[in-house]
Amino acid sequence: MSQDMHIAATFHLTFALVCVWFLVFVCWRTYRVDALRQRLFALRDELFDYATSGAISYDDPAYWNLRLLMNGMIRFAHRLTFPRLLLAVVVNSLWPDPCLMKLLTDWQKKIEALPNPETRMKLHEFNCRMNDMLLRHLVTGSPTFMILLVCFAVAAMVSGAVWSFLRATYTLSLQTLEAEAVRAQRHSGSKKAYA
Amino acid sequence: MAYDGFLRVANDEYRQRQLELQYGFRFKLLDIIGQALNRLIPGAVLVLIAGFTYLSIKSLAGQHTFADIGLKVLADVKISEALAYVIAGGSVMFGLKERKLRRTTVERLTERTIQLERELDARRSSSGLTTRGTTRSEDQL
Repeated sequence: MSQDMHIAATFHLTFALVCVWFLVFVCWRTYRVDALRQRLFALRDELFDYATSGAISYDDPAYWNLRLLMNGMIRFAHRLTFPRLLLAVVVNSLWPDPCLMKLLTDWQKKIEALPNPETRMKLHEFNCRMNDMLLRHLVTGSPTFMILLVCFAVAAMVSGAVWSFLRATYTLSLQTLEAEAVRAQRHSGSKKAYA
Repeated sequence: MAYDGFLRVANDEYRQRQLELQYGFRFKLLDIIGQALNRLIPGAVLVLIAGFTYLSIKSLAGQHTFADIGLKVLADVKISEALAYVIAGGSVMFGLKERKLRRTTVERLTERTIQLERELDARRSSSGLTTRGTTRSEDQL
């Protein structure tokens, strides 16, 4: 390749890489946050409609807190990233924050205090759907997380398969031993009886 | 006796407040580190691109002027490549325009929904986003 061609190729490649960078880190990132917010807004609307149907009061602490939680997730959706989650998990496991868990247990208590089990189930379902959305957003947004998850799933499957094979072998050998022992006992018993 | 009780309660409240502040500070610190990491990755990628480009053209230093290089780059652009650039650039522009339009529509439509929902629930809580559905500047850190 001549020097002129080398220069041109270098600049074309740089320009294309900068374009890809813009697409990934500016356009795609903001789109993903907007899409997550859109899904959460739809879920919050559904929750509002559920309360409007008369199933639960707007002033009920369980409804109020769930809505507040959704609002928080919508507002801070741009901060939901894998490095941030990893950091929070590491810090919280090293220095546990009792206030953090208290918020969750308080909400659980408010849910349990609801008189109607159907409403309780429905609010739990809303919460699960929200968590599902957040988890999907986290997993699909981080290639590192996706690779780790695949590795973890494969390791879990392999270790699970190995473990169940060992357990099955152990159970089978134990059963065989027991059966042998019973048979031996019977034989020796019958011999005694014959004797 | 009553004074002792008052002192104990005041002390407990003080300790609780201190703990809350401590955890609040830690949460904020975590947030700052998380955001810094979030910005570090795109920045590092950009530095990497710049570094590779620099190393690639370093060997040609002093042999060519910028005008010379510019002309060579432009002369090397083929029609098919130029067309690809135009299509890619046009698509990005189209996406950005569509996004702007969506945000304007969000601003126009949500006010009515908020009004109607407030009629049913006077204490209706909000997500705290801007009227266009974007992140507030103070939340961006």
